[in-house]
Amino acid sequence: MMRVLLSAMSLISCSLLLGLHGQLQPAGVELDPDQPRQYFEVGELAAAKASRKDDLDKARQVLAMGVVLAERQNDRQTASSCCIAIAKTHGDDPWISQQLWDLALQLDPSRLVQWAEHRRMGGGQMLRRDAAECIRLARTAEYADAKALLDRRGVEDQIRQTAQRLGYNPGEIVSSLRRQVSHTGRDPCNGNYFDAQVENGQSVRRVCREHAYPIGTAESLSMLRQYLAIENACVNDGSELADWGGASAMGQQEALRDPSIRWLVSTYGIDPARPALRNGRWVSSP
Amino acid sequence: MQHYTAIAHELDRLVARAKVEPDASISRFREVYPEFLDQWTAFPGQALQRAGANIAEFISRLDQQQIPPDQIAPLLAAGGISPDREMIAAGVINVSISSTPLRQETQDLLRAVRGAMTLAPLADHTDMKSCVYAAAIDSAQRHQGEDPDWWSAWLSGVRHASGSEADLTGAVLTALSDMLRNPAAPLDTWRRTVSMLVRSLDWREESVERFWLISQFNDSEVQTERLAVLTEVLATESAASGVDQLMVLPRNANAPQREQVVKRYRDSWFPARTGDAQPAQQGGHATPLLRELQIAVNSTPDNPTEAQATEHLIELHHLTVAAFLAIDGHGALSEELIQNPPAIPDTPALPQQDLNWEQADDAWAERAVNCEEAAQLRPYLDELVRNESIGISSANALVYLATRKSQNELRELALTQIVRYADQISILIAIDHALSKVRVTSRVDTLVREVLGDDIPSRNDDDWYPQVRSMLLARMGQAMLREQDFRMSQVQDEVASLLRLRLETGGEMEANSDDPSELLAQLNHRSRAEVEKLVVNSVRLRQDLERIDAESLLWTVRSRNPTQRYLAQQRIELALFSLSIRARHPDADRFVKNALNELRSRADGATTAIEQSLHTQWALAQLMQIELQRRGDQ
Repeated sequence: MMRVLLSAMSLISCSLLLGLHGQLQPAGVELDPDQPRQYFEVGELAAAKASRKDDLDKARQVLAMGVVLAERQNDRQTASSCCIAIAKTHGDDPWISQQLWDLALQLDPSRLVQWAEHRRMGGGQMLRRDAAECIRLARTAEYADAKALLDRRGVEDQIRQTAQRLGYNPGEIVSSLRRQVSHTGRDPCNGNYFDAQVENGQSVRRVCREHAYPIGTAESLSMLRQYLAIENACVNDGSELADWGGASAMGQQEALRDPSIRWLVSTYGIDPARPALRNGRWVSSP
Repeated sequence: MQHYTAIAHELDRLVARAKVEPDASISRFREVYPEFLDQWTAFPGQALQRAGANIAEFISRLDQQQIPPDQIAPLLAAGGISPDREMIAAGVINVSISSTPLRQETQDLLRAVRGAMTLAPLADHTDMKSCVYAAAIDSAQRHQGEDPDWWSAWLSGVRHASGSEADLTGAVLTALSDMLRNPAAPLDTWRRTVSMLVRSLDWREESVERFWLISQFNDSEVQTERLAVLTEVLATESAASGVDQLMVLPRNANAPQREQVVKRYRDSWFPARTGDAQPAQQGGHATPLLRELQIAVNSTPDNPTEAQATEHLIELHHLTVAAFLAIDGHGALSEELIQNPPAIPDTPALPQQDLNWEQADDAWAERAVNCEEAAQLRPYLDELVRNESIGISSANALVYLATRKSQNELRELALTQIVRYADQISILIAIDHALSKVRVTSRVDTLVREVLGDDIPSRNDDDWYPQVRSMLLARMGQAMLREQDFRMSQVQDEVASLLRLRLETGGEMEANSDDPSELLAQLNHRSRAEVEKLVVNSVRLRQDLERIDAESLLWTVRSRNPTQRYLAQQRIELALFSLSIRARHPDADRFVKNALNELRSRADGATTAIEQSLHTQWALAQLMQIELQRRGDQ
């Protein structure tokens, strides 16, 4: 009975907090840091109803705080539920979604089946393949197709994120790609490397020099290495590269970071010393 | 100033007088006590202990006489800020509180007086020297300055308070460690102070201070300029042998120069063992293996370059495998490993293939690509055979011939050349160019299978393209090796070789993998089974094992590249080994936790997986030291 009552009170708190427009309203009801479950319920509902970025960010903060508070109380189930709820708000960012699922599993190992299912579903696999294909098409002079992919939602971001993860300069990579796909000169070979010409009445194939650099490469060896490394990181889940040297050549040297509450706090800009939400602001006590 | 015996005699008498003439004895104590504080370093050990006991008894008797506590407590104040006076006064108060029951208020006030001198925890025993020593350590840790006079007084005090040479060495090295990490630029007084402290140690062969110095070079928090002055003093003023001018660190040395100088210290003080050569002393190390582990652990930099990371990783691996072999009863093999330190051959120069437009390359490509029959192509192949590498245009020409020409023999001839150059980036790029998501021709499929092998889906399968791309990109990585990448492959080979040795000596079937992560996974599987038996009777340790299992899964599945996969297995190995030690040696729990905390701190700062791998192996080496020491004690 008590649980039902508390649950009902939580839902009332949620609706009061959410108001009519699904926003976190300063409605005179605060989140109680001693009840992390509240943060989960309010945050999840707010995230589902959020129509603006600010509202979504606030909802994520509530959930993130829920993780911190629940973990402190050793309520690992609530902590991991909050992580998963935040992950679900990052449909366009498979990397961060995966970090959150990993943190959820770390907090509550009983989530293994759900975690494996999320992993199996590929979270962003198509986007990564599009990113790799975009770079490949840019290299192989299929400029129109490359540009179409680069302009597709999420692809440029995926390239940037992967470049960042590998320690490259995302801005340089994307600028180079955009230069490449903006090729407006002649392409008599149609991307085939050899152009058929007529000489002395006979058809002869010549190397098509209408490109700034040979088809398949890039503006420099260094840029080519980075392109290939990004393609590799997007296409491979790491299993194909068994050789440490080959992996090093492809920029696959990044450190293995464990998901952590500290990362969560930093990513969502919350202060564990201010866990209560009053009038839309985080404060130290209700 | 009285001789110490006179002071000791006075203190004896004051104990008796305290009962009969408390006020007069208090007055006299006020005269005698400061002399005791000035002269205590002249007291031999037993006399010092007796003096402390007498003072404690004196205080106790005043307390029993109901003398107000606020008159008793100030009697034991140090007066002045000289560290040797403060440490003895703090020690005296400690003994007084621990010896006999005092009124609560008297105790509280005495604690407050002591608290103004030291933050060292109150010991619950009455050993004078120990109490003074603890205060001395605390005093050094809190002192901010480099004033030689202060340190001279401190050294005098701690020398007398040390129960052993090891205690004195520990105190001096701790003080030096703290001062070396002071980020402020050293003052002129630094040289005088460090000279005094360095000369207080004897730096003999295999001494703790020699091991300590190596570790200072490898700690990025140690300030170069300060360390440089220390090495100057070591070379010119100390008793240390085997130190010359080349081992004086330049004051503005960069990281490679530090590395160079520490190598000289290692070569001079810890030469590589060969044959039956034994160090003259073991310096407190029970076995040569422990000694070598200590050197390696101390030599491991906390903020390594990639080259340092690979070098030290191999060294630590070598020694930890030697240790595992020794534990498993393969003493002779272990000794052989120690006698033969790893030596990875120099990396060959690896010029990167030029993929730019080249006239000669284009000319050959145009001649080849226009061939319609094998007989036309064969003469051009003689030119090709003379070159070790094939240009980008020629590569594209060969791929064109292999996939577009109608004559079978011509296609096969081109294919043979492609396979010959299949490890070159130009060929792989040309093949990649020939791929199409839309339609995979049988000729392209044949080409790909010849180069990548048959482990590819059918060309009509949707997975053909992604699988081929995946494999091709992996090959491209191998085709673009630079010297530093090649070195990583060499390190991988050496690590795999060491792990295979462990597996094979452990009775496993011939280990047939080249992948260090697979090999270590097999070893971990075996270790886990052993650990499970050890923890069966402890709920807490079983829960720890469950946590390791959960973390193992997370580390393994989150790994995205081969060094991360290996790192994941190293972490599992470390976790299982630390649990094993804690299960069998509960008293080692604190040391295990210290090692793991240090690892966490180092690994947090690492930017690459290979660096994390080094730090993890370093932690494993430390745990191995704990294990070997415990075994040596049994």
